[in-house]
Amino acid sequence: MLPVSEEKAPVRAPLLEVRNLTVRFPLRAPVFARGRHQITAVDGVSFSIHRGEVFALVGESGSGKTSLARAIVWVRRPDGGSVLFNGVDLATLNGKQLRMSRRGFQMVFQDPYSSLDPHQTIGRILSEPLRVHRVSNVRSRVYELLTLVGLEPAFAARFPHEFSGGQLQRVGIARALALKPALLVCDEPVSALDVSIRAQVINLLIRLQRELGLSYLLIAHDLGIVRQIADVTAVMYLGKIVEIGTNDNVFNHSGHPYTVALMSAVPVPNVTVERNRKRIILVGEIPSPGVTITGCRFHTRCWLRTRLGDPEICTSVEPPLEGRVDHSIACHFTGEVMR
Amino acid sequence: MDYAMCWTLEVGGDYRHSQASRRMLSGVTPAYQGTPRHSVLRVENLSVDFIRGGLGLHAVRQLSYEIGVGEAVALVGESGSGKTVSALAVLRLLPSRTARVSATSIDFDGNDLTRLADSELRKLRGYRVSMVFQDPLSSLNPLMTIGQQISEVLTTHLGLSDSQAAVRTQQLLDMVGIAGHSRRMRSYPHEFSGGMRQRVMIAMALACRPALLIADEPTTALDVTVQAQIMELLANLRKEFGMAVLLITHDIGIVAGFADRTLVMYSGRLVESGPTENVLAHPRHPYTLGLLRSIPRVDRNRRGELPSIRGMPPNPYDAIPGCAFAPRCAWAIPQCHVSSPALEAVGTDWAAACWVKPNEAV
Repeated sequence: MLPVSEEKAPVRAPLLEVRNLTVRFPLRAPVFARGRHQITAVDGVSFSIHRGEVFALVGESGSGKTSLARAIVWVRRPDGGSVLFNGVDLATLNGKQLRMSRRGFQMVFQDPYSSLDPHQTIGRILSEPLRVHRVSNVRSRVYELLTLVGLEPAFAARFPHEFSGGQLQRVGIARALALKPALLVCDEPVSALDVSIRAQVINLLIRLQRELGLSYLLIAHDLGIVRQIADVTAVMYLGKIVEIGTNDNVFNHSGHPYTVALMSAVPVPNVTVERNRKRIILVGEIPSPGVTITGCRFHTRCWLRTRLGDPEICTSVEPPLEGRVDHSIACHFTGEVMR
Repeated sequence: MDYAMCWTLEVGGDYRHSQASRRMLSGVTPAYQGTPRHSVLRVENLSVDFIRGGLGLHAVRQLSYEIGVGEAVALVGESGSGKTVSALAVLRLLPSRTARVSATSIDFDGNDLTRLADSELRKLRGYRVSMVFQDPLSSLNPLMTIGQQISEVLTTHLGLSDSQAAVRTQQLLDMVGIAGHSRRMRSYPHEFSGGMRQRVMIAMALACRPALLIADEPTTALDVTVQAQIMELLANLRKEFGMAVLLITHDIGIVAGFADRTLVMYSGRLVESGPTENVLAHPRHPYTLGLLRSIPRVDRNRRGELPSIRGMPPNPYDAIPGCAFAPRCAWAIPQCHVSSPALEAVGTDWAAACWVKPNEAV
């Protein structure tokens, strides 16, 4: 433990800072061509998450959001850029220090069936992180955790197969909370659950965040959930953030044509709303990240570009992510989006 | 694009829809005609039980519904509610060793499917009624090219020659928005993206211009922008061909822009059915109401906790004396735990199976 006087970190410093993060994957290629063939899943992404903040990362499959999350929790070392947790660059830590630092950020996975060991009791699953980190009073902490996520302490003696998906996801959340982290990285935490159960787990996440002052990095493709609980939202497309800002800005004043299209594609369970809304249907699908795209990475599917008569700049110059602190957009013609 | 062009290639007398396609060519679309009393599918008292290790599981109980000619009907429910099983049972696609299917009658296009010989039913499937599944990768043959798989449908059901089938396959790919035919036809399923594979599935399903298309979670595996494309394609093709669609989904959101009527299933039973507009805006069954309230909506500036349904879906092996939703229901009265309510009319063509039938806006 550091003496208090040495605590130099400014009070308002972000809890997590991601700087220019890049993740690449090698493609299968002939031996002599290896290294040249790779895909860039995350391409220089920067953002920060403050204490008590819910930060959402949205995007379609292939946008790189999961690769980004895995690099942030240091499951896979990034190929470029840095991750600072509490002001400390994770790359500078040795194994033991990293393990200590990891107590502060934990992950909740999409599928609770495959992320919990079926051979271990719930109690054992929950106590494992506690034993690894030599926390005392394991048993009482396990009971405390189960109560925290709305399960009965008696469940500790049971096995995963005895539970429903919603209950298992509660166990997954409890495990992530075992070491009292400040940040939870939640990768599609409710998309594997039944529709009538999702709201319960979302509500649990909201309650825990308030009660424990947690920060979340929420990865989701369901924009409804993101709108409901996030403070800041970043929209990813092909490895880059194309729009980022406060929820109000991103949802009510979307400035990127992709964000606009993504939101218009989300179905709303109301016939009148569906009839009256203007739906922008994008052509094609998200290109493979292995394909090199010059200019704006969204230009192949951009409806705005078509409307503006294919401006040359969209295919030649990559638009930088720029704007204000609370709203930045990577589009040459963001002023035209709202028209 | 002129989809009707695809159907100009008429083959022999076997092709039953020549009249309809002629009508389409003259510019008259045989669209859904209002009251669906002219039904393409009428299911009465369908029940499905699975027997496993001496245990009986009631997957579908006393299900009755009707789909009008050209009508789009959505069957909504979560996993285990019996929505897929009921559709498979209608087409007799469940394994007879484990599934016990019973029904008063299943009338499809003038045939009673409960009595029809297997060989006759096989002729109907893929021809007058076809299915699109959630995961196109596992429903396509990985060892056959896309072209071969679509052609197979045409040669089997329509008796086309290989060259005729090849021409028609191109037209079908055109219809579902897949360009670059010759190369695409020689491709294998793994070379296609999820959205493209689903387009192939739709092309195959529509190859014989069925009277009914059963689409089981057709967009669940896809991204939202691709989902919007596929739903638009299905809606357009349905209008073009005057085909009825049974859309099976857990996502009550995609129902709003697509289905004329919505059926809601819970724990093997139909709990509400009615015009989509009514069911979504003013549901009369607490489950439908609770579900709609609990969905976070992208068009609303609402923050914080959601009104959620408590508890969880019942274990299908448990015998429930009363209404299956009662243990989770905020409106339940003592009667609900004792006896199970039947569907009762709450409006025109609109019914709910509930003793209370709360009257509240979503």
